[in-house]
Amino acid sequence: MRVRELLGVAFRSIQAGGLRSFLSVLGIVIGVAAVIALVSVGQGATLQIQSQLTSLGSNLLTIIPAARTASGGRISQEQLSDLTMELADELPAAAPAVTAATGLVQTRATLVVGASNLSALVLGVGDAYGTLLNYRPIAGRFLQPRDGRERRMAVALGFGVAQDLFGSEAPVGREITLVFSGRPVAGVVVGVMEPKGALFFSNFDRQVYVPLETLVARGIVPDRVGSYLAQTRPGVSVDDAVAQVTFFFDRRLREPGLVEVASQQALVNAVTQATGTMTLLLGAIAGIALLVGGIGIMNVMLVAVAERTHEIGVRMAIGARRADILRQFLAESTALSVVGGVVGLVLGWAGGWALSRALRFPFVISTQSVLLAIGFSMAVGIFFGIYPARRASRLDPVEALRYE
Amino acid sequence: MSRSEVIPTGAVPADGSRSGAPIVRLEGVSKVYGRGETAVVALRDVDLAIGPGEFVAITGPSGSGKSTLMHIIGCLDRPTSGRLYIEGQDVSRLSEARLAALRNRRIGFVFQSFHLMPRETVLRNVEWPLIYAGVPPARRRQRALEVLAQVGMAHRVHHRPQELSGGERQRVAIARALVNDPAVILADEPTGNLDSANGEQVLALLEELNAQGRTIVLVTHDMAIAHRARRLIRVRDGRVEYDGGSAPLGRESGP
Repeated sequence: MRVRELLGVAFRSIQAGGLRSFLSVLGIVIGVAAVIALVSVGQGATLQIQSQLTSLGSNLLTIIPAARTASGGRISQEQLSDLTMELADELPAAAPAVTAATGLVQTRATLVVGASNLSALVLGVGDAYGTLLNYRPIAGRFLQPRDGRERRMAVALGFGVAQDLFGSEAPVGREITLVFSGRPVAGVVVGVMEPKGALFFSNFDRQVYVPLETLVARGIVPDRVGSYLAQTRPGVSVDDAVAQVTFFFDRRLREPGLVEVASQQALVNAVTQATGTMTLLLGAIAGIALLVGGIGIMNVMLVAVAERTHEIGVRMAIGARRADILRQFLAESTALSVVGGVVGLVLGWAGGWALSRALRFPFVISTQSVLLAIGFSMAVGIFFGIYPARRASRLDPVEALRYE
Repeated sequence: MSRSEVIPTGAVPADGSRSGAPIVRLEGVSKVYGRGETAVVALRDVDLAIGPGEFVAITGPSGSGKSTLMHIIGCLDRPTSGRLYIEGQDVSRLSEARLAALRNRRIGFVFQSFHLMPRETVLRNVEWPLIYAGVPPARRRQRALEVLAQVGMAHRVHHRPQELSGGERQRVAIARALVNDPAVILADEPTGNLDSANGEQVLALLEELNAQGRTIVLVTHDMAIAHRARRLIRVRDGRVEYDGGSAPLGRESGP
């Protein structure tokens, strides 16, 4: 018996089954749709977070003071004051794996322009900050080395801040007053940064950027850096860069473990792993739905075998071997569940698309998940079809013929 | 299928005698259902031979063992003891798969309730034995159309069985039995579900096939029908009670 005849019989009986066939594959349909949609959303979320992280600038290292020293004690104020902004300038020379670095200090200020004012987070950074974070101005320019050297209060505005303060007017070149704890400092807007949005706990668009050297020189903040950002040389392994940076700080601070060096890659990996685990979990839950769907298939096939006992007897009388009967019923259960799988694929595709639209994730359907869903539904059809098919093939022809 | 040319049409001995190598031969065949206390003996030590071109009626009251006899001749069931030869081949110990192949190629079944597959067309129904025999599509279609023409059903090949009358369905079933050019046609109460006019047509068709040289075994409890055959085998209590010429009504309880 050839595949064409097998499938012909299978599809004719599925068609004849009508509503019953439909209900029996519903479990498969829902299972496959769930797998496809959930895995799609999971992968979309991963992609979203990954692209946000890489938009921060590739090969980024973050150096922050450790909460505790390696020997277990708290970091003293004295040790913290060793974290000067000059260390950032020394780092690229001392650690060949690093191309650029900047110190970073956060403070708050009220920004005043004419009659409008608002409170914003002020980041004191080096000119390398823009390059490091892949963060570009859409008007004017970012901070330049000269701004720091000449102790100028040059201000680069986050996109949201610029909109709130200036509305439709052009901010570049305008005077702005920054009030730090009641102390007004005059500044000039040199640029407006591109919209970048929020990531983790910082909303780039709600911040303003000024030279760290100016803040320190004018005594607005002490010369004690909150954290450093460094960029690794392309082609250099991140682990090597982390080792070099750690070595540099340990030597300069004369005690190991005062800072923690984290790579952007490690963060990406952690997030990818977390969302990957989530996707797997969602997939597993959907897999259970598929399994339940398989039981539905087995059920309807057992009914089909009972109903067609007589037909099985006739087929045996006209020369069907037991293997032919087995194959016929296996083909039917497999065709049934694959039809369910294809319907589920279409529904899951649509569902995944709708969900990713609603959640503003990129829409991803991986070939793997499609193949997995179809392969799995086929496997379910074969696995849960074996028992009914064997039962059919083992019928005694005389008994089967007598059965009405 | 090339066998259809080999079949010696018209070369039947006029008396339907058992001359020539028998198509079906039973030697001491017994069939017992169950074991021990509850065992039921359906056939006791039956010897029988059916020659090529014969038209035999097997008859007997219900429970006599005639159905069991038909199932054994049709290779659907195996004897508990004794031997069955089909065309000289001992089939008592053939594997299930070989028996299926034998039923497929050498035996044509015709049932009381036609037993056509309801979801399939007439043509497809007749093609099934050829499908199981592995005949390629073009050839099996041609052969199926051939036998459908032979039984006068060429005009209905694309209909479904439920669109046909009982007589037409039985003619399709006969076409299905003929399609693999079997050595013997086993007809189990073929007119049982038909009115007399349609029943007569079916019997006439069987007679016509026999006249062309086809060996036919007809199982029936209806003596009027049994007498259409040239040889009568009457079974009672699992034994062959009478085996001989099919005499007119009233005289059949022979020697």
